[in-house]
Amino acid sequence: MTGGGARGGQMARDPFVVLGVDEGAGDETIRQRYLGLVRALPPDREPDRFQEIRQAYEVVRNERSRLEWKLLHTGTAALTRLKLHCLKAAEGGSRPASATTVAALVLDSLQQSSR
Amino acid sequence: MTKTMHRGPPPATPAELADRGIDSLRLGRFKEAIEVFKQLVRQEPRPEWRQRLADAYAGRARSLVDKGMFKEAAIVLENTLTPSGMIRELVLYLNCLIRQGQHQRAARIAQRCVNSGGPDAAQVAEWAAALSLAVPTPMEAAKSGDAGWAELAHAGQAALGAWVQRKPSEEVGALLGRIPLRSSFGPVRLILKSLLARDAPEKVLGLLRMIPAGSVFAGFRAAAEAVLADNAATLLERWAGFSQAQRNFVAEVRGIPPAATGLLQQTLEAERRGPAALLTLLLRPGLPLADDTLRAACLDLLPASPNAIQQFERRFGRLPAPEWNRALALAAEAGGRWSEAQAQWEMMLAPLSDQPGPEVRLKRAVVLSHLADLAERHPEIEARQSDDAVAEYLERSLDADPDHLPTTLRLIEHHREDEASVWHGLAERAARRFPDSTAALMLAVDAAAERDAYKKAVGFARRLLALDPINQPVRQRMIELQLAYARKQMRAGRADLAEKALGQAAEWERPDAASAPLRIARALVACRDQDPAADARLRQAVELAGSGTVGWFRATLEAALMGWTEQRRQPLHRELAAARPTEPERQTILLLVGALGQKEIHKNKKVVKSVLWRIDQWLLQGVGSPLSSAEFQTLAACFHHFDAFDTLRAYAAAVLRREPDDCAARFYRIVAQTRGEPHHLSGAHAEELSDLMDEALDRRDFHMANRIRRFLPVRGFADDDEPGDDFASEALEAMLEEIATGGMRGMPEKEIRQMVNQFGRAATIDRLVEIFGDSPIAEVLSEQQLLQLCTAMVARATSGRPQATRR
Repeated sequence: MTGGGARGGQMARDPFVVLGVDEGAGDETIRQRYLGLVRALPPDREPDRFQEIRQAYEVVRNERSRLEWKLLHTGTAALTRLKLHCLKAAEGGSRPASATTVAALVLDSLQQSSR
Repeated sequence: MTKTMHRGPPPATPAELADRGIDSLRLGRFKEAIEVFKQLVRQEPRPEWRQRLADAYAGRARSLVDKGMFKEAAIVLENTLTPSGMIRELVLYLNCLIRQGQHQRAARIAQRCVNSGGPDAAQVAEWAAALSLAVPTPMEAAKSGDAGWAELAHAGQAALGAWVQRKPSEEVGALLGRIPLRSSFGPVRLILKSLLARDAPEKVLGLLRMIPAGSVFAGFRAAAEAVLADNAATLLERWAGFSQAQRNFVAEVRGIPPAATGLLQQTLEAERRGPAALLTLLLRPGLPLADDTLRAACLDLLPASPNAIQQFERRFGRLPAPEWNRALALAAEAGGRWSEAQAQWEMMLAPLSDQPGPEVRLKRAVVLSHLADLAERHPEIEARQSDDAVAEYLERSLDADPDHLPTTLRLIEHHREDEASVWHGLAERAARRFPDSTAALMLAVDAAAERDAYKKAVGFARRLLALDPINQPVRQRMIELQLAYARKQMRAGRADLAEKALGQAAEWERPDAASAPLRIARALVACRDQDPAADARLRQAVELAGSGTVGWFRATLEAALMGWTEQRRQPLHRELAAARPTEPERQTILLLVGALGQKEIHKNKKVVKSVLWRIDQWLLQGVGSPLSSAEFQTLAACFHHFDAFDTLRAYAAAVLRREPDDCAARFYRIVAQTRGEPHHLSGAHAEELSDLMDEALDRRDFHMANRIRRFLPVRGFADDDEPGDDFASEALEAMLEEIATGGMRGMPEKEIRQMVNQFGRAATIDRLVEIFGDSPIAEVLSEQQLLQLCTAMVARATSGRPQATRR
């Protein structure tokens, strides 16, 4: 949902999520994270990602713009964060899947390829 | 008695039947084609008919698959079984078997047919590979002699098994090493390798990208990519489009608890049903997430479903007043209820005005700036203390956060169009407050130049160039400002100061691009000092300015701008007259128009007119120049501005000879015919202009539409305002006068008074709006203006004084 008049509607995703920073992060933390991402995903290799990162940075680069985002945006950024919480990996990290799950995935992959 | 024999049509010959069958195949009538070719094959099993029959079966099977009838499609395809055990459209057949859950059978058939050749051999091999991993079966291929393939299948199964059983990565890696990348098991090697080496994401993702999108392992690859995604948001995006099998795999490998994936699934489903359903889900107690996460998500959703505020408060406690007002304000905005939104935002701000602290002030500034945005777009947002809501909110926002440059610039731009003194002051203050802002300095330059304070403008431009020394447009502007200052000094008789200013301007010239106006001005100043070299310098400068008429016109114009008298300009006039016989070319005309468009020259209309008439005849020789539409419009606007109506008419006529429907030329022909006076417009002219404006709007040429609108006879009413704005009281008076004197079809005051007595004031106004709504007046007035006019007519008829317009 985007509000009729509120700003920030042009950002498809929550800028804090895009940049991978906490909502309480300060200017310098956000800047460092942004520069890190730009180094990892330069515009010539990942133009779309870079554009998104750049846009997100513009939305949260200083205290006022962050406040604008928090007060005026009418998106579902917090909902996105909720979903991300759901996807958060459990302690202990990665593990292989069961044989049944893998077999089902291969069959599913076969069926997807024939669509 | 003879018995009459009734015979049916003779039976079709095989050739006719074959033609009919081919037609059926072509038209996609596969059932019919099957019957025909079955009959033909029974008569004579020709290879081409057998082939056609197989084609018909395959077509029929495909159409059944499209309808989801996999079992029936498989049965149809089995009709194509050859003595060697091959089936037409084997991949389609395997797909049908899998869809029916006959995995073992599909795997056995795929293995048997691997390496059997044919156009889809590679695809069959991939299917066989995938099936051998998903449904391990005894290796029939090995029995059939394809030991190589069987070995690969063993290696693939072993590697996958080792990974599933969490064997050491070296062991899995060794098994993977037995699978060549180019084999049909290659994608499995890439996927498992990437899942093992999770510490170098870029390299690993590079491996996965080697698996083509059309591969049977593409779905497996997508799931592996999601497992490896370091960005949670990317994972979430992929999750929404994943199948259940992919989700299960990702959840298991990433260790996401089933309760969480379950909630995510419910959330995604509720999201599809809308915010209310989503809120109902999230407000439910006992969800496996922290309260603050849930509260924040619900708070975000409240503007879309404000009725859920009470539910929200029952679940999370009382919502603080500012949060409440914010939610309702955003809800009102989403519903387009702008006045309500304004009221809610104001209510949110009220308690904040007494609270100290930078964060509170910033919050106020943000909301007030947002209200200015809304006021700019929605007239329903009204000012509280003035008649200009946008300015009022911007000013209040700046009071709260005076260091916010964008708001400062917006306020300046807002006042720029109509309140010169205000914007000049604001621009200068902004340049002082934001000394490092090129935008603020540029505005200060424009503001100072607009009120002829060239020295001040030069000072701002100098500061701007200190920040941005290679900004070529600003360097050019600097030269123009110094030139304007020098002209002013020359007019004041201070040639010494003019010379100094021009000398300073020369510092900003690019060595490879000398400025012709500057060179001309310097030569003219030198002429005044009786410098013997001045004449030669002037001729050089004229050459630089384009020589001939253009060059001498610029010199004459510059002299006039410097305040040279007619007599003093005589030598220049002679040179100009001598240059005139040369017919102007398109480029020369455009060069001249470009020079006249320069800001400081454009505003000296009287001086320019005093020189421009001298080249009227010369300009008329160029009417046949092939000008583009944009070029003609620029040129016409220039001639219009400087009242060169004869020239304008000739150019417009020339364009119309080439393009009789050219909108701009038709408009400027009327402008020239009326000599730029809208009140000279005839009814036919006004009608044509109205049509032209509609045409311009139809092709979204708003620039031309506005130009015409500004010229229309109601320019006093509508002028630069958007339709819907009130019109000025003088304009209203003029229109009433015109109606009263019969210039427009009106209604006698006596009749209006009778209507008021009979029906009341409001009903009379409504009736008048109805009457005039059908008249030509309505075409040039907005609804609001029409209402205002009718209200005024009623007021005039009853008491002689207009009363407040109803809204």
